[in-house]
Amino acid sequence: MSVASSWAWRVGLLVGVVAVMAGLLAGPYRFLFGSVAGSAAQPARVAPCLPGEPVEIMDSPHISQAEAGDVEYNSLPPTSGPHFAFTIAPGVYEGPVADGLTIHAMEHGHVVVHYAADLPGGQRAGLERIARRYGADVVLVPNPDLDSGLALTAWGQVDRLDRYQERRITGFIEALAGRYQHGWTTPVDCPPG
Amino acid sequence: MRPGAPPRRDAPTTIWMEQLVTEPTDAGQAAALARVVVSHDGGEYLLGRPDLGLYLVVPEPGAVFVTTLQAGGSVPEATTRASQVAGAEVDGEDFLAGLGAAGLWDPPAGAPPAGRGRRSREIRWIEGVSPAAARRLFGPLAWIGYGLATVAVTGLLAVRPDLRPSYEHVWWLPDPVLSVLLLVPLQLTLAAGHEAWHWLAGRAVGVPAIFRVSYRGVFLVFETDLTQIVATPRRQRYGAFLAGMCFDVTVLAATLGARLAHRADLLVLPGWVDRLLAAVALTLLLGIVWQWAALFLRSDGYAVLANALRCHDLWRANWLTSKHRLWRLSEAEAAELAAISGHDRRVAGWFGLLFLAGLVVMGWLVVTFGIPFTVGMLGWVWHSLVHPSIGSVAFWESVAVVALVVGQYAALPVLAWREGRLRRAGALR
Repeated sequence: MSVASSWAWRVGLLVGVVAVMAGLLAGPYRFLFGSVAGSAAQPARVAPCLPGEPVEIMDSPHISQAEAGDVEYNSLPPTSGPHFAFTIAPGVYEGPVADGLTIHAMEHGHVVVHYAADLPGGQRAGLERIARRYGADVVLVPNPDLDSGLALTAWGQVDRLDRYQERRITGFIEALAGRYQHGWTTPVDCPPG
Repeated sequence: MRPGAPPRRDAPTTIWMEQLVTEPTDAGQAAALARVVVSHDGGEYLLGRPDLGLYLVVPEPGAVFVTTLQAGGSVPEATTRASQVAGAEVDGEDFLAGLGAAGLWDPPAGAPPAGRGRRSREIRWIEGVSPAAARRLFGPLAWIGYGLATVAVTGLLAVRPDLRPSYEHVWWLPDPVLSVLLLVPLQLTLAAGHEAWHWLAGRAVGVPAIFRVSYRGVFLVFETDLTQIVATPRRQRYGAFLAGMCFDVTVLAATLGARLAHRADLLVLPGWVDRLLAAVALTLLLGIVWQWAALFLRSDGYAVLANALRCHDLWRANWLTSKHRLWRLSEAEAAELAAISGHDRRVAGWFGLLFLAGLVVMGWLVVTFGIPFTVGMLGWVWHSLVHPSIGSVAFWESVAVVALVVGQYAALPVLAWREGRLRRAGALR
């Protein structure tokens, strides 16, 4: 094999490795850096075209379970803030789930549907049907902090309902799921006009 | 046998007839002869001692010579038959001696003494499965089933992104350590099923494969020894190589099907079951992708491709070719590369690009699944230890995780010291 041919292979490999690394760490893989540090505080991102109401984004570092007891969130249920370093899989949860986990799920673009303990069984069944239909996007949890009804949360956005309303719930999920992934995934929510 | 057609070892060393020393036929040689397997491989024939892991490539007259001896013929008879096939006079005694020098007449490989080396155990009960029963799992109907499962998995993952597993699914419970601990037995069961399917496929084609369970560190490992598969025609080997992935893709199809039915309200599963199925789907999918990406680790995918490309030692040929291109070869390595068949070297000329593509896919797996999961787990452990709550489950789980990880690495120097001590005492070979 000639020297030129050997150098061609070496340079080709180097260029290929650099290109692949750049490709892997750009775009959606940027979140890898965020997954170490968490998310920074920001003003609420107002989007009149979206359902629910915006909530100020809290500083959102990773914390331990011991620290979680001292955290005061700016909404009930919270839509951002200190959270655990690991997250939870989307799906239907039978028991309450710590705020530190639901917040991390929202940081990954999921919508969390919280319901009060006294929500009638028929309405709960309706929520479970929706959670199954949007299985990759929704975390459904009973929330003992809710006095009544249910609440829909996504990163920096909340909607409170006093009863089950299918279209309003699915509308929130379709509009808000994937809006945030360790950073806003689109530059604007409501295009002008 | 004849000039220009020496037996070629299907491994790093090439044995040339001119270098061989004549050895007399003896009782040990006769016993070893019974252990030799002969298989046809394209234009070449393979003489193998599976118990020694030794395989030699010979021309047809060489195979005829050995099969004549195995049939009870004398050396002169075998020489006559080999000469007829070769169309020229051959030197049977010389060929016999050459095979002996190559190690074909060595005594049988014994099992390692108990308590020495890596601990492993052969699974005997599995040998109760008859070849006829095993063949039913690899008959035409079964292959149609495996094909349909592959189509179903590919189709579902393509058109239903919501069914694609993510690293988040490892945490199918709100407790991260419990999630992993409960998932491990399932993963071991799936790994055992994968290996057992390899074994069954070997049994179906009459290859006496060995199914073993052993452990490395604290990790349980299942292994199937399929080295004797080289005694079968190449066409028959695909089943054994693909069998593990057939098992994986069938279970994956069932898992995705159950999750799809759950989404469509046709099958209502408890929430934890659906999440657990997602974790199982993640395990299986990563396993299948790994088999096709980790070609450089001689995965199942590598075995399939090397078989299809009719190569004998593609892995080594590719390694040496790549090293030659990117760095330099020592004299021994250059000689080793030159001794590998021209066909393998020609394939290695472009196969390196497939190795590279596999590496890229492995990198993607690490970035997409490995790093986020590891960062999440280590972050949790770190925060639980730096801001401890002694009475919490999270703190003690974190202590256990650290003890397990540190124990794995701390055990290495201890094991190395013990191995050195045993070696010096002559208790370890």
